[in-house]
Amino acid sequence: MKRLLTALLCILLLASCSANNAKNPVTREFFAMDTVMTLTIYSVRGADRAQAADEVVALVEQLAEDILDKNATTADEEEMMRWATEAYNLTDGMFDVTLAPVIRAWGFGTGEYRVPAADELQALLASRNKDDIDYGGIAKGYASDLASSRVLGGQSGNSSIADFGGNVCAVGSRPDGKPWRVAVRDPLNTESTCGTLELTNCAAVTSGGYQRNFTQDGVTYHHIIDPRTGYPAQSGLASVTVVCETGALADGLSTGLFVLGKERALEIWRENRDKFDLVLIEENGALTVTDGLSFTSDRAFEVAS
Amino acid sequence: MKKRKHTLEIIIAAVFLISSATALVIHLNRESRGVIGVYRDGVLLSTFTLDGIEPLDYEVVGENGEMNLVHIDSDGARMLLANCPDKLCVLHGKLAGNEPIICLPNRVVVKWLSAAELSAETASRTDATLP
Repeated sequence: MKRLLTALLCILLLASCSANNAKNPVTREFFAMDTVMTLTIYSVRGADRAQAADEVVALVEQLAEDILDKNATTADEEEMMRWATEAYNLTDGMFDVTLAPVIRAWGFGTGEYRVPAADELQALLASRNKDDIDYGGIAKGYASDLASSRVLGGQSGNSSIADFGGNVCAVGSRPDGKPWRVAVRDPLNTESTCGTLELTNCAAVTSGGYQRNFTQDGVTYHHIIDPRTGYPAQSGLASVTVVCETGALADGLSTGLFVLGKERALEIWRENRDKFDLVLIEENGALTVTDGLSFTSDRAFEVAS
Repeated sequence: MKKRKHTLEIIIAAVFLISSATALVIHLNRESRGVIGVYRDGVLLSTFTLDGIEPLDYEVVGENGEMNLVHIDSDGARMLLANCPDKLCVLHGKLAGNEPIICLPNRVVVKWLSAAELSAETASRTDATLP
């Protein structure tokens, strides 16, 4: 009888082995919100993966269209405003959706780049109001939240990763249960990366001056505008990566903390370490990582605590 | 009678054990046949899990104009085209047995990944890059 049991155990073991077959993921690559978006789905419990992928693409395209037409549903708009306000409050007002007319004056978004006159910038800053706002700084992060909450997430065992133009949304973990591995671009040499984050069930967003800029008369102007001056922020940071549960908040925080610079960013993190974590890369190449993250790099970095 | 019953039990157990051992060997073999790796200059360029794969042609291009086109489908892989002088890789035919397809002039290798190679690849691969 014992032997029979052993034999049966062998069979059970075999059955569990074959359940481990890692399948090729369902992937989608599409263009929305001025950027290339990719989606990789390993599993969505209780749903067809291809169908889920199509749903996400449709969801994001619809949101992009609604934002462009200033036609976002009240629920979406309320939710985006809620996260924009939270990011505003957490960054001493440095992430500000009412900065839209100033950003437009520089040509970011329209592509008609120019350096506005100082008095023009002052006038635009003074006349900011709630009727001319731009959710562009938070929309991609919000789109990833929608994809995760409505389609991809919600159940244990779900496994997918979305990259919405640098807004990475990691749902669950890799199909083998290990964390997702997300590389952080080196802002000083954008051909290479400067380390790898291990992420499970969270969003990660990077803001850096190298991502969108133009050069005029030998000066490079980037797209992250300091609301205090109207000019591109010069805080000594080359990029800020924010890891947190909510993509929309990560999106807004990465912009606002970039404007504030390393010292203030770390101060704010210390007061809110339950909300987010940071990878800060300075213009001199110095790398600082907050202690809530699992980060590996072949170069030296400082761990902030 | 008691002894005979014991023998029968041993036979049943033996049959179970042998069949599960055989199944295990077959299973392990299939696992190692599940993923194909394409290398150039010893660097793993890409991996393909054959389970449920759509047939595709994967192009490998070198700095000096070397070109190899690898066809991959659920049965395995073969070198469809190569601009090397000898074309031995194309003549190799399907990736079968443990013999990798090697294009020596272009330094391209197509082979089944062993479990160890596969886990090393998985551990070091990144899933996304923040811009």
